Amino acid sequence: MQAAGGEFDEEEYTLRKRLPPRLPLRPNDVYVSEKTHFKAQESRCQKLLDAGNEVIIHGLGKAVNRAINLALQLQTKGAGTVQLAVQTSSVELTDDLIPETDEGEGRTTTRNNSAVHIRVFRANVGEEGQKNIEPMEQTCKPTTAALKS
Amino acid sequence: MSKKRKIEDEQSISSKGEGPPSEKKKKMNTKSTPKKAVPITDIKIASFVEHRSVEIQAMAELVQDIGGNHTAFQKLPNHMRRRAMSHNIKRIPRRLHAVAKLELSKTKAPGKRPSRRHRRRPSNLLSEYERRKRKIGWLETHIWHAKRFKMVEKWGYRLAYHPNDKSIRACYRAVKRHCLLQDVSFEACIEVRGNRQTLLEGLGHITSSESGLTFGAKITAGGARQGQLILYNMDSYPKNTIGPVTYLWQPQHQDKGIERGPIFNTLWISCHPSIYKEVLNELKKCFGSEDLSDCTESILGVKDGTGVTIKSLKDQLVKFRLYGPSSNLVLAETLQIADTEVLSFSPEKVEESKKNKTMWWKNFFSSSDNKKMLVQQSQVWQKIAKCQSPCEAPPNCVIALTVRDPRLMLPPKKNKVQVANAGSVTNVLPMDMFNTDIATSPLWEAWIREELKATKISEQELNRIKSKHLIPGTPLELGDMESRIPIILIQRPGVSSFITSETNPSHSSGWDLIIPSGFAMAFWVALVYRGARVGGIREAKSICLQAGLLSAPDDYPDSVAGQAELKSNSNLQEAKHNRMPPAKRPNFVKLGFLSPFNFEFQKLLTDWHIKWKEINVSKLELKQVNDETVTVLRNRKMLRLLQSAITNPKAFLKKTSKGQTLNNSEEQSVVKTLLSIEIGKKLVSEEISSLIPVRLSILHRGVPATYGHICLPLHDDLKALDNDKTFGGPFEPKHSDPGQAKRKEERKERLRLRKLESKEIINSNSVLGSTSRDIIGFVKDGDFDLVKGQGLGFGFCSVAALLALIENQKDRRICLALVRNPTSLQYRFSSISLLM
Repeated sequence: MQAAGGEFDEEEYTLRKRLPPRLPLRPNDVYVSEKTHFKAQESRCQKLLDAGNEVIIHGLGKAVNRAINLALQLQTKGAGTVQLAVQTSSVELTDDLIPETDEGEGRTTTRNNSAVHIRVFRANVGEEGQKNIEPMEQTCKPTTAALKS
Repeated sequence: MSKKRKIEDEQSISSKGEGPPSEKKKKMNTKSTPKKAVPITDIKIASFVEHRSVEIQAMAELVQDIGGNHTAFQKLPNHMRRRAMSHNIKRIPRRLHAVAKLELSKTKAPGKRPSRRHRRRPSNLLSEYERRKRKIGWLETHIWHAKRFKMVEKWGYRLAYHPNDKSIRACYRAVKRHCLLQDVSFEACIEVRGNRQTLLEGLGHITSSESGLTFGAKITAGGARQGQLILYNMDSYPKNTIGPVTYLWQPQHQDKGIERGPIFNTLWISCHPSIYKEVLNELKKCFGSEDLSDCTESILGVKDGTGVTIKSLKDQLVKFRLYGPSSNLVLAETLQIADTEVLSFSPEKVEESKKNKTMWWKNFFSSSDNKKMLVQQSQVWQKIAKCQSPCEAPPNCVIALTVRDPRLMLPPKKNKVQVANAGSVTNVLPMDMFNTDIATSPLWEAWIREELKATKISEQELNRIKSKHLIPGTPLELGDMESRIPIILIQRPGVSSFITSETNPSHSSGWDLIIPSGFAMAFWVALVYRGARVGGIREAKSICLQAGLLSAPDDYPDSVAGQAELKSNSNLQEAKHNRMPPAKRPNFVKLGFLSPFNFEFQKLLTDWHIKWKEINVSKLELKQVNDETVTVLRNRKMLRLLQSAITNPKAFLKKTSKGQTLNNSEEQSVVKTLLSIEIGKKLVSEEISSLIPVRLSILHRGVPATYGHICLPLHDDLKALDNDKTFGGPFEPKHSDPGQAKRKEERKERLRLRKLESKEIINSNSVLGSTSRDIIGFVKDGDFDLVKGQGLGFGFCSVAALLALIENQKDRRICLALVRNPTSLQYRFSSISLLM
């Protein structure tokens, strides 16, 4: 967990993290967390992938590693049929500072945290033969999104 | 059947016992007279007859009672009985006619019960409901709940306890993924009106800045945020707690206030019904009113000097509580912003419509200020409605809205609302969006509330209009006739800020919806039709436990209402225990539970106070313990200090000793470190014998139960755990029960004896030393935590005991305690953290 961006006195404020603003929540969007069992996440993604040929895995902050791991696992299990498209971004997070004293005013601080969005997909059956020959590294290349000021 | 048989047996016994001797007497008398030939003069006839008459009378009475409490013909022997004797008196033997007639005249046939069809007619049903309501308060949604819920009488109301269907997990899922709804209209609201400065001065007597924010907090002053605090009796902090309340200042426009001259501010204090009277009385005391008798009257005391008005709004506002991420969606579907355009802009027509009393909104929104606010409010609401969790809004923020009558937009079928913005991305809601304008609501005006109630279209009328509607199923357009209902939405941040790092911070966050009375069912049905699952008191309690929040009144054992609640709960538990057959009851003496149905807080505190003195004898001066009252530590600075010590004792010692030079020869100790800090010194000297609320997360298996013990682990226990990570916990050796042999001898009196003995033992022993591990506190509530899949508890510990626990485990990174349930000898390890 990152510390809050702004400076504040612990005596005068308690920190309360707000939820990060949610990105799309379609049926095939998977938000990876640190707390969920890895195998369960993997099987969930696998099921979605088998059903719709596309899953989008999102990981924020500490869960970025996990998201990448998960996507790579899916890729290896796919035995060459599964491809990845990666995008990174930074997410603006808000913390509420709740005053402990009567004089304190409510404040918020914002900070940025990095996130990764991995599109895991199966190419169409017709193209499958050609896609298999292509090197995987090219599709995996991450594109860094501009950091918000 | 068995009764009848008994009676018959008695009859036969009595006839056998009394019949023969009387015959014998007769025989003896007749036989003896010819033999001796006593002259008649020897018998004094008068006295003889006198004595016999008494005997005969006694016998006659006895004979009359034979057969028990039966009617005349029921006493007849079997062969003399006839069918339908009770119906036709002529079937009874003639000699019994008189008796039977007398008996029949005494019993009066009940009047015929009106037919069900008659009873179920709406007006008759309503009058029946009115009759039942008189005894105990009903919420507006009572009948809806009574059909689906276990209802209990609590705090002067008949309240929904839990749904009748299998629903514990379903309700948990609703909180976690969808939306859980609860009717909390029983929470009483008190309106205090007066000059802000005067109000704050008066209210300062019953609050304390040490235990959190007070009424004067800057953050809540504008009315854009709701505040929470704990009230105490007049000037008696930290003793005599009343309980927690929430408050809301009426939003005010500064420029307007200058025009008016004296500024009057209104404050709504909302409290639990169990403390309502106490709060009301204390408020009156604050503003110097001595008249405490008229509790029921609405307008209580208007003092000329201060001009403070205290008004009870009990049962005048309806409050629904929504939990869960989808509560945004459910509300967004239900609350459609009302169209309040006053169509005619010419001033004459506005005047005209103002005269028309039925439309408060035409009057209210004719001012451009109010209209602008309405636009702002609806814009903010549209943004919030798109959020995927209520936790994305700032904590405790207030939004006022004016919405349409939800009965007109009711979906034809009950349906779970789906995620509306599946593809969209929401942005962070800016802080300054939630200002005073957003929170300004016409709901604060009493006349508007009354008018709303009076002009509400009745269900019957609405149905009539619907039936005349040309195309059935299409939405009704009632135009001006439709009520425009002002409501207030208050965000609740959910999980306590003390434990946000452990759990999902958005868990159990939601909204409180305040609407004027009279509209409860309209909104209720609309919310339920959008898929909100309904819970009762049981669900609310389990949510509180998981969110690490204290629930009023029973989590406040230092308040009068809390103690009363605990007492009634323990009585219930004890009665339940005594109802079981003795062989099926756990033997609490053997289990080493001295008070299985009581929290012995008083004894715990005094015992630990003595022990504390023994350990740290020379170091400090201690405040004397007061033997009568229990206090709970609510000083936030002290709590935070303790929290940092208990969450990681090792790091705490390292951090605090950095700035100070310690003698290397002396070993570092937590108490010494605390004493080096000013607030810590105060904690040790003043609050050492108070209670402190703790949260217990069980390490392996087991679920803590109410009245369980929280104990201090021995060094061996901790070592065993370090060696074997799966070590489940030590066992309490079985205690001896000295009364057992005696009880076995006197089986008949077993029940009575057992009760007596257990009480004797409770009185004779102290809490400390009664078990192999020292007791440091008691479990107040425990449940299986569905979030973590492990046992979760909440309890109270003594501060001195907690310090001893930290001292024992100062080399560890997590403090561990042992928890033992009343019905078990097994101790379980649990991590321990503080709650506020």
